[in-house]
This record gives sequence, structure tokens and C-alpha cells, in this order.
Amino acid sequence: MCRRALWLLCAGLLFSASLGCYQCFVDVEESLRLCWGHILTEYNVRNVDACFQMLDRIFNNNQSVIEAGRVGKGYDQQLKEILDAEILSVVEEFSNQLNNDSVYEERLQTAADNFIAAASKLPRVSGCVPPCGVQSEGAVYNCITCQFDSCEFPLDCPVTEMNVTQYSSSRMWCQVPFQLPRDLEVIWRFAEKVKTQQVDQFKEVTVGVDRLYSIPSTRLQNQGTYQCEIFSGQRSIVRLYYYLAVTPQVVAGHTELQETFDLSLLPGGRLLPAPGGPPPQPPLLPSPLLLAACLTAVLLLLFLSLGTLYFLTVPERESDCEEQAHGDEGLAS
Amino acid sequence: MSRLLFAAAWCVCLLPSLLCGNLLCFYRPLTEKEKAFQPTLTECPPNELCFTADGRYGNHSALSAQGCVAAGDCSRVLSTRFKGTAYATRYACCDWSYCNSCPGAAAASLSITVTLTTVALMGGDLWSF
Repeated sequence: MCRRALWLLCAGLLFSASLGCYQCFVDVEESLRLCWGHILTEYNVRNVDACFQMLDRIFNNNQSVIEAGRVGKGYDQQLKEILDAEILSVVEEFSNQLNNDSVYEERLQTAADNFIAAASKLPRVSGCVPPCGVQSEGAVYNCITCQFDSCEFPLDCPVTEMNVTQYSSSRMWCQVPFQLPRDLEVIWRFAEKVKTQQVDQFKEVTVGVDRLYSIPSTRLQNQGTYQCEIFSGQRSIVRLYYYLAVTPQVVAGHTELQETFDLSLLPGGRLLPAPGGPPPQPPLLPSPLLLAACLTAVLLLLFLSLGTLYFLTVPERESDCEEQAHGDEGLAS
Repeated sequence: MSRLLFAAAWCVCLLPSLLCGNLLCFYRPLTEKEKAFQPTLTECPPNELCFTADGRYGNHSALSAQGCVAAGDCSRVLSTRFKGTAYATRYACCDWSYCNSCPGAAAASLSITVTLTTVALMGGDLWSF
């Protein structure tokens, strides 16, 4: 029973070569060369199977090695170069020689440690952020599948619900929690009254680079689903959805506003007396004495003006008479 | 004559076990079948046999492996993950050196034994008649 369990464990390790970076970057031929001289000291046999099991344990099933291999796009070639260099040095060292499994263990562990140290210095990325969007920038190398995770989530994001009161402002942002390309185009669309993600029900509203959709004063007809689609080049990256539910404004408030508006239209700008208030006062008129004083002042000013005008015109008349007399004397001579 | 044939039949089955040395088997790690490379030899510890393994995805035979395996587990079918995909892996075992050089190694061993036994039985009947 124990032997069977042990064998199953070994078999699992033997056939778990689908995990880890080693299988992605190191050729089988190189591994066979590496393991050719492996001696299983317990039975004193040259056993290649046990060597491959050791490779799986040290590289493929080593979580530190796997984590060190999670690099960003474009750095997988450097990852391969690092691992190839480590393995190649061991291959050359053990080429055509017989070595005990303890020697293999020590040497391979050193190679793994060197790989971890070097690979960990390569740039990291944030990785895939669920639940939606094509996230090419966040792809991480997957040592299980030997390719970058494509982050191929659905284009359509879940619908976000928003509740606003009539006549209040509404804002919707077209933002995602992952890195986006620089060349973006944003299209806002609207499906009136319904909560939906069916593309054919939407009508295009705006096209541009504006990732904010703002409604200064929300009306009842603004209720519905808003879709924001982000493009890069000709390729759609993500579609966000907002369902805007508009709550009607209360009637009492509307009535008060209407009454205030009606009051402003009263003739003469007068306001209706408040109930229980004092009786309306008659319009105020100036006293008779004040009126007499005003009239006197006005008449005095008028006479002064006339007098001034008279005295200004007298010298002109006298000068005209003298000129006429001189003319008559000239004619007589 | 029949006894000689019987002895030959059993020798095919038991002779590898009677030898003092361990089995020598071909080794190939679990890889895609279309990958071609020269397999290397491996020496099995005691109580292990040579095997060839066939990894299947549905009806498609996609992977293969060769090496040594414990005798008691030759008939098992394991679920193996290769590059993120699960495969059903079946073993075929044999017990003489270099016998796992082709997928039909175990079948060949069985067919040889059956043939020799049949011939022996037929020979015995003829002599009796």
C-alpha cells in the first residue's frame, strides 16, 4: 500500500511535466543529455526516469520558479535565455559522465536558485483583471500553457445601476481597472427606458475621446441604459454599461415653485398679503408744505435762469447800435 | 517436443526475471507524439517493468511516454495534465530488456506467449494421437 502510494506520487511527478517554465524553454534532447549519467544510488542503476522526476520537482513544481517566470509581454525570450544558460552549464558539466543523484540534486538546485534570482529582476505586469475586457497589456507568461495569458474576458461588462432624482445631475465614467492603449476612441450609446446589453437597441450619442458622460439636469426621458465602448484602432476593447434609474421629483415641491412663479406676475409687483398679517397701508404721499417748498425752489431757479440769459444778451445789442451809427455818418460825408 | 515448447513459452515470460541484471528500457518523457527524437536507455530498479504510455484526449491519441514503472500499476489509467490540458494516460508493460521500443510491446509479448503455448498444446495432441 505504501509502495503503491509512493509510486502514484512518483507517477504524478513524472507526468506533471506540464507545469513550470522548464518544459517551455528547455528542449527534450538537452534534458536527455543532462540525465544520461544519473545514478540512482539506492539501487546503483543508471536511471533516467528518476532524473526527470527530480527536474520536475526542482523546476516545474517549484512555486518560486513558477512565480519568477510570470513576466510581462516581450520578456519571455529573456526568460528562455536565462534558463537555457543555467541548464546548458549543467549539461556541459555532466556530459558523458556518471554522477550520483545527490550530485544532481545539489547542482540542479543551484541552477534553479540562479534562475529565480535572475528572472525576478525582469519587469512585472499587473496581470489579468476580471471580469471583462481585452487586456493585452496585462498579459502574464503562463508556464503551464507555455504562452501569455490572453486575458480574453468578455467584451461586455456587467451592468452598473445608478439611481438619481429628477432634475439632479448625473455622471458616468468610462473607466476600467486595467491599463489601456494610448490610441483610444470612445463611443457613448443610449437605449431609452430599458435595461439591456443588446447592442442593436442602442443609438449612438457621441464619438470621441471623452470618457465622461454628464447630464446636468436629469429628466425622466434620460432613464435607460448607457453604453460606453472603447476602441483601439479598429478593435473593440471593452464595453461598459450603466442603467440610469430616474426618480420623479415630488409634486409639493413643484406646486411651491409654480406658486412663486405666479406671484411674480402680479400687477405692480405687489405680493399677496400673508394670512393673519396687518391690513394693507394706503400709498404714501408727500405733505403740502413740502410740495410748496419744492414749487418755490423750482420757480426761483427758473427766474434766475431767465435773468442770467437777459444780462448775457444786452452787450450784444449795444454793440450792434454803435455799428449802425457809424455807418450813417459815413454816408452823410 | 511439447515439453520443450512449453518450456520455451514460459521462458519468454519468466526469463527476464531469472536474470541477475535489471531491465534496460527505452526512456522518453511525456511529449507530443509527433515530436521525433532519439530515446535514451534507462535501467529499471528492481520490481519495475518497461512501459509505453499512451496519452489520449477523447479519441485522439496525442501523447506518448516510455520508461520504467512499478509492476503492480501497469494496468492503471491516470489523468495527466500536459500544458494545461488533461489527458487519460494508459500503460502497456513488458518484462524484458528493450521491449518497450514500440507501442505494441506488451501485445507482442502476449502474442508470442500464446503462440508458443498453442503450438506446444497442438504438438502434445499430435504425439498423443
